Amino acid sequence: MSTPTMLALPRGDRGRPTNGLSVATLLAGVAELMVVGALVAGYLNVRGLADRWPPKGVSLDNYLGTTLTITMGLTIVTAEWAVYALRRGNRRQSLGALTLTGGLGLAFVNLLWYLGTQLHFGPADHSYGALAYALLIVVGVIAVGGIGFLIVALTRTMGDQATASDPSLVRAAAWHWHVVSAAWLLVFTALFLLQHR
Amino acid sequence: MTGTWLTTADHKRIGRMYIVVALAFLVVGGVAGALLRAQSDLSQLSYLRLSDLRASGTATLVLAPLWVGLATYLVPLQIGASRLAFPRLQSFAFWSYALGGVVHLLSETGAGPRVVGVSLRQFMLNGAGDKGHTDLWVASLIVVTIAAIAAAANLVATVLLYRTDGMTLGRLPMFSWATLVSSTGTLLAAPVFLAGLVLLFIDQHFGGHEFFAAGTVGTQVIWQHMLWLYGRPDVYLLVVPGLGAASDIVAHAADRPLANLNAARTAIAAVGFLAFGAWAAGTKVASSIVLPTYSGLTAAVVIPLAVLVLVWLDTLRRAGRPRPDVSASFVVAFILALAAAGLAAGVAAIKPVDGSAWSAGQLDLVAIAAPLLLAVGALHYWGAKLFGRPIGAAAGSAQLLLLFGGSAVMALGSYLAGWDGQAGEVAASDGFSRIAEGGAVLVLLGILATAASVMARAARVTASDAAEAGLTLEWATTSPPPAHNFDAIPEVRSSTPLGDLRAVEASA
Repeated sequence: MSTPTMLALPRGDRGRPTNGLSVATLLAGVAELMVVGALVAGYLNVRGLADRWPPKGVSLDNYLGTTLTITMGLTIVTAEWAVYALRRGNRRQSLGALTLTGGLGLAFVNLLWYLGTQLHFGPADHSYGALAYALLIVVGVIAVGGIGFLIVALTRTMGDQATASDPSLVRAAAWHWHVVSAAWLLVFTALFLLQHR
Repeated sequence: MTGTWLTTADHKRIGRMYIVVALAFLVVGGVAGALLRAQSDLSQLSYLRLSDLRASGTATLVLAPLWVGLATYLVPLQIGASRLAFPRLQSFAFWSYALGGVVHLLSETGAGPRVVGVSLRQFMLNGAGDKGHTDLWVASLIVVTIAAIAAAANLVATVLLYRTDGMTLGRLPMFSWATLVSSTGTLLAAPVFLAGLVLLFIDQHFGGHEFFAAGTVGTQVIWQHMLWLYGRPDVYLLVVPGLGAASDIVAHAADRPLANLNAARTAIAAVGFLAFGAWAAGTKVASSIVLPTYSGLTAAVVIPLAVLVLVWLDTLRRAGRPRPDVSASFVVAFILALAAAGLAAGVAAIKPVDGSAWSAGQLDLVAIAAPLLLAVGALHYWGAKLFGRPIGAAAGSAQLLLLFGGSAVMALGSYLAGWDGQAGEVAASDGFSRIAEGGAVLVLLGILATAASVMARAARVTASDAAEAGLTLEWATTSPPPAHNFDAIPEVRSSTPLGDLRAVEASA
């Protein structure tokens, strides 16, 4: 048989899809939220089965949880600000907003670490302990990944690789940061809002 | 040269590496399976360890990566792309899988982990195992699972973003369609398993002994939920790419598109969807999570499978005289294995056999033998594309006889032993178990023959201009393809662009 490409049309140059990063971010976000969602579902499951919840002597500081949530809420605004500014061609403002988002992200991780030091129980003490530590560690790891993504977006914007005509990297970094926010909201709801049964 | 293989971003090389490493792990799993059957004087601990190595090892380290390897190689070619969406991510996924798999095997050596089998039904059996091995066991599974998620995301992104002009989702070749379905399922299910592994690691590494131990709040219920939310769909998702490959093989054998393409696509998507309905299986540890929908939704999977088989048969009927092809024989063997499993399920309804050797035989046949037959069939079908020359019809026939015949004999022995009342998780030496042992040896020989012939081809890939009379785009280029895959791509106006091209040639 003759090689079928003999009759082929010349290949059109489609170039790289511009929405690749957005799709990748969406898929990564789905996976991350599934991990957190599974842990929250496990938490709620054990909460429903336990005789006493949380265990005796366990109480999470609502002040810290609320501060973490407010910090995360601020980053939703600053991340969107970075995208908005870049789209309008205001690179300086976009860089500032990205820096602010990353800084608040670091503050969030720092506060999360502090929250971990304030827990008066260990992961091995009871089911609650294992679940609480798992939730906090996983959301912390996702947040650190989000900060890394923001740093990449920041440096590339500084190098003019993210511009008003192609803001996809900053857009994707902002979307990923919203996934971090959603993950924290799930954890906050489980650990703080649904702390007592 | 070594550096090239280590750092390559070529999807074809990564795909071949996936296939070779998966086959190497298959040999380990096959040896474990044969030892399991042949050693009637094994201690309970050794028996369970080998059982874990065979079952979870085959699913996690062999079948899923084997399909990922084939998809990594073939999906860009089938959709007319020159690359994967994120080539370096696939490289990362491969090396994570390979290293994680080796560490997982190492964790089973020496004192071994405190866990025996991913179901954790024999958690910390008699205080066996140590902390270091347990950490390695869990951490290696975490790494392998992250690799599976990364590879699945990459394949989904590739199909969504890199299709050539005219290649709509409705015109995707069946293997690419099935890859999209199974990768989406993996993307949703594997993170749940990952969450369970994180919990297990935290519990074990930080000294927790009570979280999964019986009698404490939560106990193994969470683990059962998380394991089965991944494990049950995974059993189906391991077959889904095979269904796509089999559809392409049938179309190739018939030299025409599938008789009812939409029905076939819907059936494959339905298997992927229904896979998630089958998670609430009864477990010995957490019977509280048995859902009444389980039996119905599990049985419902039969409907799309039957539709797909009917489409295949109708396609072959319309073709008149299908072209003889060893890969099509593997598809026939798969159908026979499914029919046998269905018959066994019907017989099991007469007499309760849950937890007996009968269930073990059923698991071997449905979860391991059936997808393995499709995977080896796919390797034969695309052998020339992968390695430049086909694996060979004679070798394929021998492998088919050994794998299918061995699986059938092994399952028969297990069915008879289970019917006789033998428990599923003990080493036994009765007559029926001997039959199963004989089957296991045949399967092992089949695995060794397959691995040897594929690795021999992979070791010396030769370029060939010979074009196969395939219908889909991967056959529109040389075997193996050049680095950029295509010099020119035929216009895509249907799911079988090369068939269209030949029709134009014939009419001209």
